[in-house]
Amino acid sequence: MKFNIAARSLLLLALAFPAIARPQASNETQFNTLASFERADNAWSEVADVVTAPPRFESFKKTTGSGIILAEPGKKESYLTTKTAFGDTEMEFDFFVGRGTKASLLLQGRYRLNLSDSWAQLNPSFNSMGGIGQQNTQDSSGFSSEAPLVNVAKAPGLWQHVHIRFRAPQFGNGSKTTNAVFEDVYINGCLVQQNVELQGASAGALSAKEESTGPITFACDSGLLAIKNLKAYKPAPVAPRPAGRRSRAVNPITITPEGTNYLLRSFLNFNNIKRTHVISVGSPQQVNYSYDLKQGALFQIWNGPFVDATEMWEERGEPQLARPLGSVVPLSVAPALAVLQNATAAWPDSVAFDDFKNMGYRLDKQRNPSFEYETGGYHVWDKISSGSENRSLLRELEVTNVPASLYCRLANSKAIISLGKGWYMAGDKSYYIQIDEKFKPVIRQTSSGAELIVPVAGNGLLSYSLIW
Amino acid sequence: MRKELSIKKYWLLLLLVMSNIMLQAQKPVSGRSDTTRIQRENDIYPLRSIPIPQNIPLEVGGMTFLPNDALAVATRHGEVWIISNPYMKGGRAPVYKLFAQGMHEVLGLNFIRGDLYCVQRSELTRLRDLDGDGEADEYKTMYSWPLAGNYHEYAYGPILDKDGNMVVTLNLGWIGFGESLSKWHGWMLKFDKDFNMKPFAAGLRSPAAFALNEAGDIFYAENQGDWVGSGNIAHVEEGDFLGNPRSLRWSGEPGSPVKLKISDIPDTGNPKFDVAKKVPGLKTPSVWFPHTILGISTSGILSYGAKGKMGPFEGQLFVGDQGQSKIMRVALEKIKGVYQGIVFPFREGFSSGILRLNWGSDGSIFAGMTARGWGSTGGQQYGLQQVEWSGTLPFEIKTVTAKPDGFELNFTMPVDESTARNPASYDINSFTYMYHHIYGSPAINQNTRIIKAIEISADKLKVRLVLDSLKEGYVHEIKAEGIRSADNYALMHNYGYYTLNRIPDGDIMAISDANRVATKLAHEHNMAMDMPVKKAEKAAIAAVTVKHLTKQPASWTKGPDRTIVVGTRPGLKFDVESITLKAGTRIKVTFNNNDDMLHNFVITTPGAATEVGLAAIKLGISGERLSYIPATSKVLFNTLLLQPGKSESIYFTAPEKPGNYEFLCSYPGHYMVMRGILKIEK
Repeated sequence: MKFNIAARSLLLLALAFPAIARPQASNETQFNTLASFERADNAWSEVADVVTAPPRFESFKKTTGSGIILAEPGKKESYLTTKTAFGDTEMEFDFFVGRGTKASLLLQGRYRLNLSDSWAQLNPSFNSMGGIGQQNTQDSSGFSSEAPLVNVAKAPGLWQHVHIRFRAPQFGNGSKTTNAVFEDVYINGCLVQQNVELQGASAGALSAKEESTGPITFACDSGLLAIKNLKAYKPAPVAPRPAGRRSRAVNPITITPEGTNYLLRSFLNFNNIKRTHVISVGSPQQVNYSYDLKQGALFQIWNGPFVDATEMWEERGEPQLARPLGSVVPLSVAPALAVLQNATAAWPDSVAFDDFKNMGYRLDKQRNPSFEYETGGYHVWDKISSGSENRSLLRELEVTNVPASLYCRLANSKAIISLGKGWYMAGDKSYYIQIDEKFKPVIRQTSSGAELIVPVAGNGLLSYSLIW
Repeated sequence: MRKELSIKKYWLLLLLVMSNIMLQAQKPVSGRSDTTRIQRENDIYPLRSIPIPQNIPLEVGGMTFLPNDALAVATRHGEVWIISNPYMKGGRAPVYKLFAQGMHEVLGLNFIRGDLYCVQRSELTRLRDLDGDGEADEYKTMYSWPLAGNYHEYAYGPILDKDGNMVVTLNLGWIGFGESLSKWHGWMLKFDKDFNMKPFAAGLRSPAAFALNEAGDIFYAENQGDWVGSGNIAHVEEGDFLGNPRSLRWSGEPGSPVKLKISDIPDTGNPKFDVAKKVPGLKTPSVWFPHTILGISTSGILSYGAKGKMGPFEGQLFVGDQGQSKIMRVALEKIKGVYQGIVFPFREGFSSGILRLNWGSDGSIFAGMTARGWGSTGGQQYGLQQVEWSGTLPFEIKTVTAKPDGFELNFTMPVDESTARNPASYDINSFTYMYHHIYGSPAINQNTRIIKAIEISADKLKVRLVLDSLKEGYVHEIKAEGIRSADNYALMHNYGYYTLNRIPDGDIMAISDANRVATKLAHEHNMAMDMPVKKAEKAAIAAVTVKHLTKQPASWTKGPDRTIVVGTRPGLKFDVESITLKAGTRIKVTFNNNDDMLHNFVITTPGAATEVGLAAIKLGISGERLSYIPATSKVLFNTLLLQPGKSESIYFTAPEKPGNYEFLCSYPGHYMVMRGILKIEK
């Protein structure tokens, strides 16, 4: 593998790195059209939208227009390089990849951060999304590359977000005085790299010779890479810690489900409101979610590590808050089930405390819970377990005494797109919903966006999956 | 390295405390030879620690024995562990098995009608193992109550009342004062067999424990705080209002048996007993536990019935204490339909803060402990210990009963007649507490009671004391330091506090030449006992005014050279561990008590913090009034004892002599951990 990359880099030097002087970037620079880039081939294009097709996420449908930069390299590796050069750089962008896509970002055309599809990998390596590629150093030990601290990669076709703070190497008297550093890298809101010093350019760099500036380069050698909202700017100086008192060192308490699911009652902040009757469930596969026991609402899902319980179990634990550690996808705290008088009736925000009898939960062998409650004269078992997809949750509802016009709301967000065969995409491509079409799901427009609702049939059975 | 040092420091502290206790026990009483025989708690009631695997944070919130004699323990991390062989029979270690996990700070666990029930912050939960694999797979919510999300909204229980209802209590939240932020916080609730909820009584503040006595009446343990002058236990009956008015927000709700409104409760600072006469429905404690002397945070109550084997105290109650890591003993009697009685020390020296007490099948007491966030004398963060009775009879005051003209002391062994007859063997004082929104209360209206007559029963097990008068509604401190048993034992614990809610009717003892105490003698006796106290108090007050300067001296025309702000953080800590000052500079220290309990800020001479802390404890019932500032030159500067949320600034000139001075909170129970170094540099 390592050998391959080195071989490829030689090829690259010969073909793809025209020695032209690049202007230095000034302040914030946005790169949302191909005009900002140099490209070696026609694998790159601009589109208004692109949607992958589940469940294989290999084919995709494009909408012509602009706003999204798309790479479809086929079998050939392809590069996109900014016309501007950067020294110290802070940058962020949204991107998604196809199933099995191999892609990366090269800071200054030299220092590689991997963006490859890493959906649901439990033990990520430097080749995974957020990994830092091997550097050309004399030292062949394992310390010349960095696996991400956590893997919070989303499913193919879903937008992911990267935020990087990078320090360029410094030179004096013709020789390097300070190494380049990835100060921090966040993917989907989670820290994946921190203060990683780079001894030299990565294998596969456009140029192995280190300099104080260089372009931003995207590389994609299979599958699909979509990029939008790319901006780069000079990093803001980091405010030094206020002098004076030493801040208190607290040993954090994190919970890692081992072998089986961990269920944790706590308080949780959601949309800046402290929720009190909630439970979070984490799995060894890092499929995590929170559920409001007083609304029957599956209200957030996340991948990556489970929770930090320091604010519950350190000293008095005054906040009593569990903090999700991974990349959270917020859903809704409104009840999952409601009776709708007519097709346009608004979905209720909540059920009054005394109108909802939460009855606890039962666990199966894998400690997947079935939550039980009664409200509005009907009784519900709401079972949530890991689904068959890579990273997914299967929700199975069993309602008895089903009243007329009882609906289940699967999603509400600004937009919901039907992908066919019972697949939907909600939010700004933030998660998928999959449901058997026999349940007759309907997208309805609301004043604030769209909702995916399903009538609850007379037998009271309903199931669907969330995939992200 | 640091850790090692601090462990050494704790050992040193422990040694100091222990040697102090021993010195007290061995102090010869005037007029007695030093042949007095001393009994020690450790010999009569030995303690044993149950080993806990290092990876299990067994912060005990609830405890119950199961039919197979395994001990089920619920923790503040929300787990339930089943511990088989907690008795370590056959020398084998106990085995821990995780039964349930992930509940929200479980502070009560009980085995009722064949099931494990526990209380989480928001609900009463039943745990069942449906598939028989030894782990709960059904967490059934039997009843759920609202929460505001405040950490102080704890919930406790359940226990079963004598009619088969489950009983649960809900703590007030804390927002700078105790507040009922959501429905039924500050209440005791009952649940019938179908889990229909009935609000039962209001006015609770921090009802961490409750239990039935042998008669089946419910007693709950209350902690000092706003509207609670000192810790206590109280008898709870339907419709009672126990004293903290914030819970009355909900008294208008359907089903409430309490009719009082918040506006019905006067905030005058008059003794609660007097206020209760004018406010029907306001219930006063059955027994007050003088703060810092007999606990600072009453907890688990255990009734000594058929299950127990703890020596000659059947029918009494044991009450644990979290902050002081000890168990106290309560003897109740019912006078004119009202419970009252006396509290004694019983056993101290537990390893952590006692929250729960249970009877083992061998008649021993199991103490489940946690101290995280509050600290405890024991020093450990959590623990599980067992107390046994060695079978040796301790010489103790078994009970004290009220008489129309005084008290009758019942002893566990026949008393030595000459010491029992000597009025100098006793010291009796009466006092009470203020009832107000302020946190805690000093002991007020303190008075020495004069003994007029002493009569010893024929079997020498009872001593009747006739007093100059009895103060109804007051706490009566009864000390009997001079008493010896016929076999010349000193009392293992020679004092108790009797809360006199009602003066009984009955026979007044005829005073005769045989039992009369000479007036002169009585007077002298009281003078002798009072003088040192009064002197010490005066000295303390005088000292405080010099050391406690709250106005900037006029000569400081340029103001202080340095201003320092000190706050607190939860878990009995100041927010600074060390302060460095230049010798002789003008200093202003502002102490912000941003905690939810009482604290002061005291600067001592180098190495004197422990000594000052111990001296503060000895101020006894006067301590709170004196801000726990002992009269000693070791105290250099201090703030007063501050209410939660209050702040005070003091002015002083830093010492000229360089060195590592110390600062501490001298409030009993705090000084061991709440301290730091004040470094004076040239």
